[in-house]
Amino acid sequence: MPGSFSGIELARRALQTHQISLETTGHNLANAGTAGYSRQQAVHSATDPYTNPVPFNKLTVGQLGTGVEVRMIRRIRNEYLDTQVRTSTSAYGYWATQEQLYARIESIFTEPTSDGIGDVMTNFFEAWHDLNNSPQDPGVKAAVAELGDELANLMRESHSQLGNISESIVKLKDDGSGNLQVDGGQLKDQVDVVNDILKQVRDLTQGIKKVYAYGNQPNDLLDKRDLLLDQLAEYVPLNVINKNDSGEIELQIFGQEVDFKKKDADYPVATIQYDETNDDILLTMNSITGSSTVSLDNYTDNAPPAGSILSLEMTRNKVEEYRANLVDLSEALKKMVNDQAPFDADSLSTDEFFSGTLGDANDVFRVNPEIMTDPTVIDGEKALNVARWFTISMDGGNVSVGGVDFATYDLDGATFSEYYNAILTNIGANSSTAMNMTDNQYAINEQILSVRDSAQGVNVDEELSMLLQFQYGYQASARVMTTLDELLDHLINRTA
Amino acid sequence: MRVTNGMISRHTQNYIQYGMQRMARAQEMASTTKKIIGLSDDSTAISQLLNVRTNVKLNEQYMRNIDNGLSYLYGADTALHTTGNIIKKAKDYAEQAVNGTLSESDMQAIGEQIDKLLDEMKDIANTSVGGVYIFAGTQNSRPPFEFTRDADNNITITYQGNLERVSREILDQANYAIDIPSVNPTGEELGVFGNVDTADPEKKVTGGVFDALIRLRDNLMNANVEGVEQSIGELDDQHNHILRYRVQVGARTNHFESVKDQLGNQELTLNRVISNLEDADLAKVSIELTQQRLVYQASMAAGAQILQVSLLNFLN
Repeated sequence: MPGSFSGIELARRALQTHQISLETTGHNLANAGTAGYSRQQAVHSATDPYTNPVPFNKLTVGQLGTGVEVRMIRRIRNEYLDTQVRTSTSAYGYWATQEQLYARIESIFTEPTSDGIGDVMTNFFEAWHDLNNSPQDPGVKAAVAELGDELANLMRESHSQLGNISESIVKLKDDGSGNLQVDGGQLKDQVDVVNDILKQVRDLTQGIKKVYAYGNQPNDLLDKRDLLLDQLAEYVPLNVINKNDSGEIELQIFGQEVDFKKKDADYPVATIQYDETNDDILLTMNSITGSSTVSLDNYTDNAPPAGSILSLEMTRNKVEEYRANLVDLSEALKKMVNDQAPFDADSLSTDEFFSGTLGDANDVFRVNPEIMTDPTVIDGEKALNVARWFTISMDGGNVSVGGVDFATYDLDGATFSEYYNAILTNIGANSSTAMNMTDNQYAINEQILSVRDSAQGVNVDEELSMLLQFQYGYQASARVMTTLDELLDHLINRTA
Repeated sequence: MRVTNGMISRHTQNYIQYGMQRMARAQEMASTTKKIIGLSDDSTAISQLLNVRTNVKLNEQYMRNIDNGLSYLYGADTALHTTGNIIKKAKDYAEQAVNGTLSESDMQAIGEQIDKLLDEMKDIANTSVGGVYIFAGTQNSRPPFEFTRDADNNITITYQGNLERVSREILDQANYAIDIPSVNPTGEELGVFGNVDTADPEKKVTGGVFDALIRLRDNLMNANVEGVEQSIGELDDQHNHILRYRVQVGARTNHFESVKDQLGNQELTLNRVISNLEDADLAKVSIELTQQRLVYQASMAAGAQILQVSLLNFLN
């Protein structure tokens, strides 16, 4: 037989339970728009029934219920989906970064809508044709020199703008002893962000562990940590291993374990170095047992491209490749035109039409300044032979022009303009691949996010209907309390 | 599948963004009338497009070279035609002189006429086209033939040009001479106006039409009928000689004109290729633009509708 006031206790429990549920619903509604939030649910459970373990007790039929309690506040989340979300976020981060960088690279070259290096190069060789038509005309000679200079200028301009992009990714600086060190740029900034996120993950993990130790559920802290890990996945390919129920995790970046639980003084735990011999960026991660180093250039050999940091380095390599292509083109132009010696060598101090080297700040690539001052030293008799180089494919072999054999510059068997157009085509193709891949990865990412959101997201209508349900539950429990109160009132005050 | 408010608002944003992107692309095509605007727009077509463009520009240059060569050739043709006329005229005079009824002074009067024809001949030899002297080789910025008359009215003609051939590149690696040799080195075939001894510092012109005319003049002045008759024969030879060169000029002119026609046709074809590669079909693009605008508006309207609805609207 339960005590007289057990009903009041039951009603009290019911009131409390519904209040907690209402508050949880309120928390869900409040965070309906919070990034990374997983909806929570107060799990109701009937309290242990009243039993009187004595024999021959037949006063009650079966067990008497004692009410309800909130057993736990559950965080509704499918953690297996997190891995998938992070993988696709990494892939999206890789391609989206590449897309942006290629948009910048593309903007350096004005083709195909307006004239660029290719057109000026054509004009330059056409001017040599014109000079062949009127070999003594000083006006045409001046035009040849001017167009040559314009061509050299444009090539210098594009080369240095590509250099700016490369430098905005990784800025290298001599450390004073002749070694190049990373001194700034987007890649370094992103590694700094990675370290910063790792620090925050470390701090959250400490909190999470404490809450678990007290036997509670650190729902909101876990959400925050998961959100940080989602963000981290944008920068680097990430692997999260949940160690046990204590809230401990292990992190792998680029497949290498990183010990993020170090003291502030031991940070950064992820650092980059420049490998000058291979023009590579090395990423070193401190681990519990020591440290491990990943070569960004070789990472994709056996893993899919992932993370914006990798993307930055890959695109930087391509930018450097385009720069090297431009240098090759300038060297080929210089060699082939200079070999024809289309000038009066006696009035020049160096036997060069083009002088300098593309990318050399001290000896810039340009038309020999002496020719620019006095274009009449250009020899119109040789104009045709110069003009003819424009349509000749060059692979390093010998080609006879005007009856004389010339060793050609190796342009992989292309003519000047074919070689240049191939650079543009490569940029266009890579840019369009990056754009398509970004679109695809975005769609995939959205799909997985939707699946995850379907489980963990807050549906306002659902919460509102639960709000009603708990409100009625609370009101009903209050009515139970009032009824019991009236019973006791009769018993205590009116039975005398 | 359970749907949440976050999902709906994110999807709405995505659809609007997607619609806007597509509309911007259609708009870009409609206002530029091009379907290739950036390097990444069609990576397979871009290489072809750039290379064909270079070809077109190069063709234009070859056509310009041909036009330039043709003006040279037309100039030469006219000059040779006039030279033929002068020779014919000189021959007419000479035939008048040898019909036996003329006095010595009459013959000398005709001799004076021939002297004037010599000046005319010199001017023809110094024909220029667009500031370029076409009978001067490549050293063609000043008149190549110089006359000096001494006190006895003896004429010396010297050549100031050079013996280089003038040529034009009319196709890739196809270079053709457009000049006819005005003078050839002594020992070789006669040039249009004779030979010149390369070893002679003065570069005196010998053996050609000038020589024949000078001899005719001198024979007339000396009333040497026999000499005049001989000169008539020489003039005939010169006439044939000039005619042979004129045929050469004609043949080269035909050659250039037909290559020019061919390049013109090629230009048409190549421009059509460029247009196919980069020009947008305006009708198609404007329909697409309308469609995309509709899609864009629809996604916004749908988003606005759905985001307003909530259970809250129905609770009191």
